[in-house]
Amino acid sequence: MDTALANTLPSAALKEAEELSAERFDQIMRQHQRRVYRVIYLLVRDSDAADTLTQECFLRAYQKRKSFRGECKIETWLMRIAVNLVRDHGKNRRLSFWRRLVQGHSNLAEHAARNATPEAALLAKEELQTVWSTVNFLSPQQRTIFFLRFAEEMPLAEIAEMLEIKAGTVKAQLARATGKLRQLKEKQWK
Amino acid sequence: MEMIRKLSNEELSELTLASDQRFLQQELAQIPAQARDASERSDEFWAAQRAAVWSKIADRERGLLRMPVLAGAAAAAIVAIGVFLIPDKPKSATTVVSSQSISDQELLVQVERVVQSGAPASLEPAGLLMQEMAQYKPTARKKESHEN
Repeated sequence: MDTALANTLPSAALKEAEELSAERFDQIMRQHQRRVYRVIYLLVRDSDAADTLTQECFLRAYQKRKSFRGECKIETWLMRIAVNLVRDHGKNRRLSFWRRLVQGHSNLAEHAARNATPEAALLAKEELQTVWSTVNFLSPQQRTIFFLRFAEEMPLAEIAEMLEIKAGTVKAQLARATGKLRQLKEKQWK
Repeated sequence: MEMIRKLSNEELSELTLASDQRFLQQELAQIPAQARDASERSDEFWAAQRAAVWSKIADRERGLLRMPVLAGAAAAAIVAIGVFLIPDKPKSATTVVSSQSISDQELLVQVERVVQSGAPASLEPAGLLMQEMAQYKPTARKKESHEN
């Protein structure tokens, strides 16, 4: 359907058709909702909040779809909206931080321990709990960059584009984040 | 020569990052799978999420459609309230202004006409007053002319 449209319509008209089509938007939602939810979930560590924010992200995207000029990938644009929503959400949710810290990383570490011997599972769980709890102590921007890079495996340039910052800043923030994790691991070894 | 070259901040960050990534290789390698596992949800969940988004979109669009109607109703209500609340002061003010603009002389002439045209008994004192004022009028005018 899209290919047929692309062959028959000039690019501007195609863009307009894409912007306005509800079907196209539904396709976009199906394609990206898991990733958007995952990134939001990693950042807020609350499945209900992640669901609500994911819905809000697509609602905003739909409302602002005419302002999307195709200067970046649609996924980058959606992630930018998601990250901004999480940032605003974080401003109002400082108090629940400790609750999430206690609940969140233990749930994530459980996944690592599923298919291993009891000793290895225990060790892996402890190590990962350390990683997740350390990530919680990073600044919101460092945490976002860390997850986008290491959980979503996004290239640094794309992260920079998404967060509308320089690639050098992304590198520096990521180096600080990994530096903190390294320090913590070294302390554990000692 | 290259050994003593100072590294830029970006180069330094790159080197630190590369070194840290090697050091944390095991932990970092597990993160993507864990993140996917942790955020894994059923197909029903994703379908319900999409339905919720479409429902919110429909609500917003309905709200936007209602907005001009509501704005029109609000404007009409404001105009109606304004009409009821604004007193008829301007009208009375014009009356006062017009009565003030009639000079004493003209007023006397009007009263005189009414009295001469066979006015009721209740207006007799006005007739007497008019006669008295007519007697004193020339003197007053002379005084005014002296003052000038």
